[in-house]
Amino acid sequence: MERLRLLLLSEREKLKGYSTGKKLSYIAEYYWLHLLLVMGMLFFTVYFVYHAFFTIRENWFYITFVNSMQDAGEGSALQQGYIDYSGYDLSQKNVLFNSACYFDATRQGGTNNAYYQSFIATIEAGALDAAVMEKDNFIKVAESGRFQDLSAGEAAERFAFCRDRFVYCLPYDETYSETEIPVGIDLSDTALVTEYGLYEDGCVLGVSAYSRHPEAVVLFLSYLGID
Amino acid sequence: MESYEAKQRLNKALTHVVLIIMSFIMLVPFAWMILTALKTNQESISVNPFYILPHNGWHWENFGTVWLSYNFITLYKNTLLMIFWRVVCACLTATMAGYAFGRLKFPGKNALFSLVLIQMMVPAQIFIIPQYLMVSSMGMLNSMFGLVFPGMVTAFGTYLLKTGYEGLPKDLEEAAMIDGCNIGQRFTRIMMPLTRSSMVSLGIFTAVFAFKDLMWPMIVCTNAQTTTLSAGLAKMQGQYGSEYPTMMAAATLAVLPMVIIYVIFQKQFVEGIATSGGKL
Amino acid sequence: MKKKMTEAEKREARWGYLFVAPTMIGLIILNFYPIFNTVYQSFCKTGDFGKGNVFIGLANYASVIGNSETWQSLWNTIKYALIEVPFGIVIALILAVLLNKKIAGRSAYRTIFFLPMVCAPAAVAMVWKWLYNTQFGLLNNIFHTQIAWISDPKIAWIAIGIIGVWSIIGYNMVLFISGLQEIPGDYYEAASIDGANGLRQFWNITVPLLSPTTFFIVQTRIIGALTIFDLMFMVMDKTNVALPKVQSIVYLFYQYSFTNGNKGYGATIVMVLLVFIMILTWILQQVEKKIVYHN
Repeated sequence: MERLRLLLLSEREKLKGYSTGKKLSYIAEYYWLHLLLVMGMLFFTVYFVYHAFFTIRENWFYITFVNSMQDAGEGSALQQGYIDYSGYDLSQKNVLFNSACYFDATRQGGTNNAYYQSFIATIEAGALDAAVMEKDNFIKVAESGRFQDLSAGEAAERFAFCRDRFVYCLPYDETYSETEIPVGIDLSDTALVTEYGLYEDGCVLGVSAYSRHPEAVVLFLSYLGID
Repeated sequence: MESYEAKQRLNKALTHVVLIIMSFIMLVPFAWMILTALKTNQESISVNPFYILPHNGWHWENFGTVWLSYNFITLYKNTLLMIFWRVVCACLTATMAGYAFGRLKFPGKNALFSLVLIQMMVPAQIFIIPQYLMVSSMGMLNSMFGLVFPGMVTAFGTYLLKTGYEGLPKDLEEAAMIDGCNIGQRFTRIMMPLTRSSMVSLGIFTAVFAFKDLMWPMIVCTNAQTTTLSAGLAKMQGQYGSEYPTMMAAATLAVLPMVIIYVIFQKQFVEGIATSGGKL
Repeated sequence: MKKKMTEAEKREARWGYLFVAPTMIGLIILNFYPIFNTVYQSFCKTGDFGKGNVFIGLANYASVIGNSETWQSLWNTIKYALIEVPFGIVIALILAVLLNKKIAGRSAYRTIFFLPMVCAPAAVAMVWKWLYNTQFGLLNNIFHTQIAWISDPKIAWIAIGIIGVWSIIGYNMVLFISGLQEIPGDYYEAASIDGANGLRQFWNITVPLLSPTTFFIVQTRIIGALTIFDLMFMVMDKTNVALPKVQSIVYLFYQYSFTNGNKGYGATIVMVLLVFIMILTWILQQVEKKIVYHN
């Protein structure tokens, strides 16, 4: 601190004789890096505080439509319909619909792995609540344990009403179960296919194993007319 | 004397032959990309390997279709801003750390540097989920900060600039020390300007990796207004499925700004010779 | 015996810590927290159907080390590195030296060699698949052969290595060019006056003065080649019979962590790879002290 004070004093001494323009150019030349750093920090702080206060972090519901043939992402009719139906207050939390995700888990390869990896990342981070995709694809993903076992724990009770739509798979992990377990809900006859045309040959919905809002998934199902 | 000149000319010709052959090899996918963008869908999936050129007319309108179906201006803007910030952050932090690792002595230097190396030794996939959780808990999803976040520091760049600083002659700094410059001044006024070409190559690398990064923007930006080119064009796959011409037209349009930036940057390279050549 | 630091040394150390602080803090938050997470996961049986981590001690290590698949993948990765690293570096060095001369069209060449770096990965994959296709491929059509370039286990690793070399030349070249530019021009002038010709100049000036850059590229490319993943994923289909003989260790990690959802096992594979690369890096650093020229 003492050194800094001395430095300031000596610099002021040096600047005394200069004109204003020369003062500025002296400072610009010798302290440009310092100035830049201070300005950067200032900008960053303002930006950060602004975002920290004004962004909505929580989700009501986050769903991904994998390989959908029509846009069902932000601003789609499907999303708007769900928001109206659920009555969620968007000024508090978000409702996210994403349809920019394309992969085929049954024959992975090519350049589509970025989609698959980001899909898995959103599931394992606990952000995604549900995903919809074609049946074969779905079963392949479900085998890895990323979707809830609909016959265990709370999920069994919560999703009991659509038992006749269950889709089963045999998990990779034999220690979990050696028989097929229900992991998905078949939505082939719903508006997703008939009205919105997202899939040609039917589709299955899975509830993320790490989902924090399974009740929103139930609401989505009832929005599609399943209850 | 004449035989010397003849030899020189032969040398030059040989150099060009080598370079032209290599250029051809390097250009194939790029040429394929542009040529496919000009074909009809039928032609693009033809299996005959010798149908290289479009033979049903050149379909320039593919570019128009793609341009109109995406908000390229927003995508360009987001991508270039992300690249800009990543390059600034990476160059700034890496040049400081590189100087310290390359030229200063402090206890624990080797241990800290091995941490830098370890970062490069693990597959990048393991970083994604924790980084996503950090960004989302800060409330920075769908923001420029969120896009730049993983690229704020660079282990590769730190190592690259450390190598650059180590290569500079010692006497330069000693002269400055006698003049009474402190370490900060020596760094900003003498050493940093001399590693400009390393900085340029770090800038190029950072920009290329940021441009190609598909996974991160796809995870943090769920909103079309905030996403980048690579992730924004992801929608393409769904809409156009296996229509290679449209996909390749989009890819070509996406690459254009990168090529322009590179041409500008590599001029810096050439100038680099002129300035540092005489000085040292 | 610990020596007491002088005032000047202390000041230097303070500057040193100040300068590395942003990078180190960033790396610890962005990268080391996830790495520790992975270390922890490698001792766990992870997340099936949302059940969370269960601590199982060294069981993952026992099964990874006992599995011949791990060692086969590690060997595949080493074989890949043996092609990519030397060829990628030598070709790039030659090109960089040629492009560092004052020749016509230098900027154009440099731009051309840069293009593969920004080319759409889908285009790169398509072109290589087309070149290597057994029936319709360009290579087999030109040479009138019927070679299964990427599905014959004996050849596939070389075919993949060639793609690796192709895609890395541009990167290495950019680094070599910047290294070449930091060599002062007057060294060459002095050598020309002494009558040293091109090749002699190359061996006596370029090679020693470029050795730090070369070492840097060797070191980072070895690490890069040993963590290769995208390339294999891009051109090898899951049904490819040559896959077990070609898949890299990171590919194996991906299979377990992402496809099968067995993250604990995947994390253990990462640990094995990390230890392997760390040993290799340590050896390289020792070699560096012996052979790399420092002025």
